[in-house]
Amino acid sequence: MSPRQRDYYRGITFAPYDLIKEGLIALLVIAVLVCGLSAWLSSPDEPPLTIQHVATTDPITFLQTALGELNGTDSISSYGPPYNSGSGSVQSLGPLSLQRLAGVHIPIDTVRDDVLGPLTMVAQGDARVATALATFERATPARQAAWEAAFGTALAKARVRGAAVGLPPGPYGPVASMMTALLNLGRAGLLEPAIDHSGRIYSTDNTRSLLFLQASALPALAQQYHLVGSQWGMMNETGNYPGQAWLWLYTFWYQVPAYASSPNADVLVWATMAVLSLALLLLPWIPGLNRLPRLLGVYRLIWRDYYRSKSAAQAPIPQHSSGVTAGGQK
Amino acid sequence: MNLTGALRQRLQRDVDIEDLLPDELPAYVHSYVYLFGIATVASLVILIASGIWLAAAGPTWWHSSGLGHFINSVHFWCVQAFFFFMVLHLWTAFFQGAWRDGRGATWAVGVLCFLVGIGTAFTGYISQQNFDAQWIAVQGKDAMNAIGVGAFFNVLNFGQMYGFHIVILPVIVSMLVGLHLLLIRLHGVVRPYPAAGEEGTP
Amino acid sequence: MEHVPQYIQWWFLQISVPNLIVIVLMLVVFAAALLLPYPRRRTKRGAP
Repeated sequence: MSPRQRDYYRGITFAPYDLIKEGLIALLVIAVLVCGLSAWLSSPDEPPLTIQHVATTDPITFLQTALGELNGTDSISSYGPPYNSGSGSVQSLGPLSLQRLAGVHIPIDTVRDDVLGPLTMVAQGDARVATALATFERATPARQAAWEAAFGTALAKARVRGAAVGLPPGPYGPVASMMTALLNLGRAGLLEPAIDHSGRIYSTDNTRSLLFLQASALPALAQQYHLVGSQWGMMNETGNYPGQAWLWLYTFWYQVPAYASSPNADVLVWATMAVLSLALLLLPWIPGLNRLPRLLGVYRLIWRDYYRSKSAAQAPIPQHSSGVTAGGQK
Repeated sequence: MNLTGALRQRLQRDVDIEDLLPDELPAYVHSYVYLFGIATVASLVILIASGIWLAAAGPTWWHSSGLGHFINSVHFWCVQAFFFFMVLHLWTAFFQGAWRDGRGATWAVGVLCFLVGIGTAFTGYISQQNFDAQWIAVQGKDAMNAIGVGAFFNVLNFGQMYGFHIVILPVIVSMLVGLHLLLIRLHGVVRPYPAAGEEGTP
Repeated sequence: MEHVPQYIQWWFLQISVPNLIVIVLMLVVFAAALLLPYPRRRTKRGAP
């Protein structure tokens, strides 16, 4: 024992202990516990939502998302850093915006990435799509906007008939053909690779296709699973399983109206949790807080045998003691 | 100055092997609450073992293999066990005032284990390649972007998140847990609060 | 779609039954660890 510990433990009785045996027993117990839980309850694995699924089962949602990407009304087009220089989702704490300071590092152009790019690929083998694309790109911005607006208005009243989306005749220009081609690409399961791979053979980055899905389809499914913010969703899990219960305090702030209704909700919650985490980290040095355990007195339960033996040792009844003390004689 | 000699002398002065591997502990270490820490470590060991198996078989294996799904389940329930016992261990350390007598760094490193552990779990959930992963990623991106971190830590980028989860963060967690255990052994288990009339740090 | 668990709502608090079980179990295990008597050791000896 080091002199430091010998000095610290002066007057303390010691007892045999086997740390390694304790560790091995703990390993065995936990292994049996988790293997038992795994065999009995398995684990959740809800399959991912695909653009193909949305295009097939909810083509109107697909078309509304694609149109939003084309006409720039989707949330990502105006999001701000790190995707672009918009301001739709830029948060700040007073005058400080870390989001702005970080800058645009993941440039996303939803028009090119999600619509015109994939259609250009289709145009390689489809002359009609090539013509529609050329017509669209040659037109003035005002013309493009007029076609998009007409298509959007009709889409709001569209009905799905079998595999087709029924729209009345209208001044959609080439937009209707473009959207149909994109829908077919989606139904074929080829839109994710077209959006994410961009001609590369290797890709492990699903940023663009996930941003496409998050416009509408993902939140709708998340609502059913109680995973959205207002449902304390951060703590929850798909299926009948525990989730990340340790995030309870982080998600708690999103239930407080002052936070939830703020356009800077995320940065406010982060700031709050940073302060609380720092307080937890520095607890030993915070006057008042570091005396709480002494005041609460739960330690009396933990060390009740020690305190009992202390008061017995101090009792005036003389008795021969078989225990020896650290730093003393055997 | 010889760096090697200086380090050796420092270790010889400050580190006693009997402190690192004692075969006895103070008799007041006599409560079931003292088991929560080792239960947390045991959970971490099995978490890493099951994680190594999952990594070796590739990130899509567990979706199509019965054995893969079982190993994933072990990994899933180990995460629950890890946080379950770690929080109970935190409560124990708090109620003991275990930071007393120069053990503040041990407490602080323990809190860092907790915080980095949360981050590791977060990247793990995002690496699942299922609906839960998709949703957590698209939700998490707003918080990350809001604090300026999303530009460099892209939760929508599976490759980056997977790399953080299977290499970077487990290494950091393991180093922090190792440091935590070393500090505990070097300082020894904190003494009880002094009884009435007894000297010591109140 | 996998089975959605039951949720318990109280005021603005909402918690899934599995999460509630985990939290209750934590409190029960902690209380038990505090209150249950620890087995007595057979021998005591001093530090070397």
